[in-house]
Amino acid sequence: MGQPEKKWIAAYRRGDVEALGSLVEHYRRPLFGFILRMTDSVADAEDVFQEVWFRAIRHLDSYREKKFLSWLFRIARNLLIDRARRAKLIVPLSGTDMEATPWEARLASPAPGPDRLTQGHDLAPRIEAALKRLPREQREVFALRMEGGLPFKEIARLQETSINTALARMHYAVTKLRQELKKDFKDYSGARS
Amino acid sequence: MKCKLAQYQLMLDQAGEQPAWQRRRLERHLSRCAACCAWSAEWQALALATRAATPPLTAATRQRILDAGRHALAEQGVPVQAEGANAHLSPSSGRASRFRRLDLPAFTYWRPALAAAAVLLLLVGGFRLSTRPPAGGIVNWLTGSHRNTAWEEGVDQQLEQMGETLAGISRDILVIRNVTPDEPLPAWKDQPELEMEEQVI
Repeated sequence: MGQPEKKWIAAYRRGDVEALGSLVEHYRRPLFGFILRMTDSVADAEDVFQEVWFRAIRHLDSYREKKFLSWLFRIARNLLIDRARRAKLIVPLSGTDMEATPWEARLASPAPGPDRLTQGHDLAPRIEAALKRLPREQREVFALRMEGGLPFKEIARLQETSINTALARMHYAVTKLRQELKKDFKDYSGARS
Repeated sequence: MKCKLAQYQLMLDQAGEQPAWQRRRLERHLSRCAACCAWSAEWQALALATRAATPPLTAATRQRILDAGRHALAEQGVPVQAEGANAHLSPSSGRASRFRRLDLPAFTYWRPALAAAAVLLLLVGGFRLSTRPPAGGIVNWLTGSHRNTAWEEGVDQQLEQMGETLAGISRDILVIRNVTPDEPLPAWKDQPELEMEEQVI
C-alpha cells in the first residue's frame, strides 16, 4: 500500500471522514471502470461501487492485504458474483414487468441503438457493446487489466487461477474484440496514417 | 518465437511484468512480424478507447459512502472531526502540494539540499557578521554599500568624544603633577622608571 493510502486510512480511523472521501476519489476510476464493465448500466455500477465501499468501511479493521486496490477489487468481484447468482434466481412473472413499465419507457431505450453501433468512428461504445458479449471470465480479465490496471499476476490471484490462464483469457477477449471491431480498427488505423 | 507467445508477452510487457531478456526476444520478433505489430497497435487502441469511456461518479453516491463512513465511526465511538480539519490530506497531485506535506517523498529528496543551503547561509552570514555587523539595512550590508552609513558616522562621533575625554584626562594628570600645559614636558629618559610590582598570576 502506498503512502497516501496509509495516511488516509489512518486519518479516517482517527475520525476524519474527508480522508475517506480522498480514498474514494483516489480509487474511483479503476474501481468504477471495472464495475461498469461488469454490470449492465451506470446505475447498477454506482450501486455496486457504493456497496463495495460500505463493505470496505465495515471490514477496514480486518484489512490485511498488501495492496488496498486489490482488496477493493476482491470485494467488488465477490459482490458481482453474488449479484449474478441472485439475478439467475429471479424469474420474472410473465406480463408483470411490461405492465409496470410505462409505455414511453418501452419505446425509447437508453442503450446505444444499432445506428450508433454501426456508424461513426468512436470506438468506446462499440467496445462496450462487444465486451458485453464476452464470457464473464474473459470480460473480467479485460476489465481488471484495462480499467483497473492490475498486473496479470494480481488478476490470476483474484480469479484463483494461473497467470497463463489469465493471459489466455485476455488473449481470447482481445481476439474476439478484434474480430468484432475489425472494420473500426481498419478505420482507426486509416485515420492515424 | 510463435506469434501467440509473442502476443502473451506483449500483454505482460504492457503490464510491466516482462523480464528484460524476454523483452529483447520480443523486440526481435516484432521487428520481423507485421501481424504481431498490428496486434500490438490494436491492443493499445483498445486500451485507450476503454479508459476514455469511464463516466464520473455522482455526488449522491459519494455522499452516501461518506455518510456510511461517519456512521461506522460513530458506532465504534470515534469522534468525527469537523469538515476541513484535515484539508492537507485531500487528494492533490504535483510537486508543490507534495512539498507542502512535509513527510512525503518530495521533501525527503529536498531535505539534504535544504540542510546544506541552511548551513552555507549560516556560514556566510556568520562571516559577514564577524567582519562587519549589519547596519544601515540588510541591503546595504549585502551589497557592500555600508560605508559612510549612519552607523559609521555614529562610531566616528563616539571615537571623537573618546579622544576628547582622553585629552581631558591627560590635561588633568598634568595639573595634578603641577605641570602647565604650555610647559614642555621633560625628556622621556629623565622620567623616573616606574617600579612594577610583580604579580603572581
